Amino acid sequence: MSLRTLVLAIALLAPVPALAQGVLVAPTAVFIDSRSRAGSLLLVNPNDDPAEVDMSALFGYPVTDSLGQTQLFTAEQPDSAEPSAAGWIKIFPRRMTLAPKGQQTVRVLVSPPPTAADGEYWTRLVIVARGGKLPVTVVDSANTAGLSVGLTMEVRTIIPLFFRKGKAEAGLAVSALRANRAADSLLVRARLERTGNAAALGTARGEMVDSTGKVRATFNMPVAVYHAIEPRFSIAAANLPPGRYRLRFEVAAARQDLPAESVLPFRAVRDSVSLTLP
Amino acid sequence: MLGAAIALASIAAAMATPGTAQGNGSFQISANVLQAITITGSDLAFGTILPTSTTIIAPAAATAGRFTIAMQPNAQVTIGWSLPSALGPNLAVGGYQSRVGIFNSVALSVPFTPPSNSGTVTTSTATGNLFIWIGATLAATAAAPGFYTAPITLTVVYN
Amino acid sequence: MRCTTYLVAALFLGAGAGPLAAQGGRRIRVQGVQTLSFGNLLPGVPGVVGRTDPARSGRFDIVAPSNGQILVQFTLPNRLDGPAGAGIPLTFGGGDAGFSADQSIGGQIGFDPRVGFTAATGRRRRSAVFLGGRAQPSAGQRAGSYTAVVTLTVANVL
Repeated sequence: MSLRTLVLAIALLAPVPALAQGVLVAPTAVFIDSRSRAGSLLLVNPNDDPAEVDMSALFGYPVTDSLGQTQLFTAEQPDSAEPSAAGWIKIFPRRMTLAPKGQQTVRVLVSPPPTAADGEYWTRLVIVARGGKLPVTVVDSANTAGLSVGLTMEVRTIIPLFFRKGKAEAGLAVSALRANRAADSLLVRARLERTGNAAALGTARGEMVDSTGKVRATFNMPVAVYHAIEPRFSIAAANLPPGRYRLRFEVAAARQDLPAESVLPFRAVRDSVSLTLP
Repeated sequence: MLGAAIALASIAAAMATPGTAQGNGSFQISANVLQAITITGSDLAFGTILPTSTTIIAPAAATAGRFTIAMQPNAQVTIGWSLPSALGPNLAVGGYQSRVGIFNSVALSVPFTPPSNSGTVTTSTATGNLFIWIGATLAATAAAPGFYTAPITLTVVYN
Repeated sequence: MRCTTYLVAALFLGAGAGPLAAQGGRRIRVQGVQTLSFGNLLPGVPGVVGRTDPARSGRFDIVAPSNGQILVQFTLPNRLDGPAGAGIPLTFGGGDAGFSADQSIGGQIGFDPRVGFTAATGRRRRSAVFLGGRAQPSAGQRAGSYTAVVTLTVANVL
């Protein structure tokens, strides 16, 4: 075996260096009002390889399935009753190549029709990042049966965009609070329904209080109520002894992960229910 | 280091010397960290294979694919996968296996079965970090020589 | 309670000035006049401010006897404090501080802020010290405002 052949053989046997792709997106939610009708977000390529980025807008919002799992509902042609801003969005630039460690500010302009009523309108910004180059494989001419195979990783980040025109108000109603034990957890569900003309962005908190008034377990989760959802919350219940409890539940207008000035206030809603744990 | 020691000693001496004046002042250092989400992925490489062969890459293997999600602590995201079933003629891929963890260590991760292409998982972590390793099985049956690739797409919806 | 409030207010207002020290008639005044500002940072992306950055570098103004020598010593924080106990590591390199005998940002003599520095004050009584640095937020860094306080002590050398 010649030196050249040996080098090629080693090169072919060596694992292909993994290429990294992806992008940092900031902020995680874009809020635009009708006075400015413009917003921006920053995309950063944190990797050592270039990244190709495509951006688009689609209409969608989180919903829950029968098990309380959150999913993204999307519609290419949303119902006319839906507060969609997807058709009003212009993105500059829509396509870009981010150099390693490079960044790009993306402008988002909203052009609502003059007849749009006061309220909040929604869309989702979709940021697709893929590696800007593919690994090149050198196949030894003496080894034409060689195949080089790989799966590239592509990432899609989908963030909400809220466009607010005139008077946008959030409100929330809670009902149907219930809980049941499943393995080592207590699964809590409640129906949350928006009552204002804007999505209710808040945090759901729950606590299990025993018969002596002592809080024995808690949960704390962000929620976003665009129409009506019945999310599922989980409380670690392995250490909860059998007995009677009171489950206290509250959703308040605060989100740890969003700027306070962007979260529309609403009156906190509360409910509670008695439970007996076997 | 010696210079630093001498300087500190000089200052201490100066401050202790009668007739020596001293003063101090302060200012603030400030920063504002923006809300952000970072999702990156590194490729799953089967490397060079024979035209008829079966290759298994475990999630813990060095050439496994990996996704990293970094976001605000306790932020909630819904994650969906798009997993290809073939890389080309006579090159079937499947048997996807995955591990997830909140630390950048596959040893500290737990097994996880990626849902089907239409399935999603909603999650949040106390640290804001989530690591996903992906392995798969490749079955080649008299496949033609060449370079083959297909994307695994991870979709992360910020709720 | 009132004293505590005043102390906290002084620290968070940023520019704090040490009292005029008058020992042996040789007065030194040190005043923080500009915050070292990293501005908006992104998780996982380091922020670097140079000492010659006119808008973002930190600045102390010093009034000290002319034609003398002064010793300057920083008390540097190693992290920025943020919401819910979160912190961002701060580091300072060997050339992150600069002394300017005429207070011009372009006329600095660089020095290592982690160790003391002896400077000649020249004919004018007013000089300045500038400070840059590096903040390294983690990939999962909690969003919000972060602050720390840096103190400069200046002693006259007879």
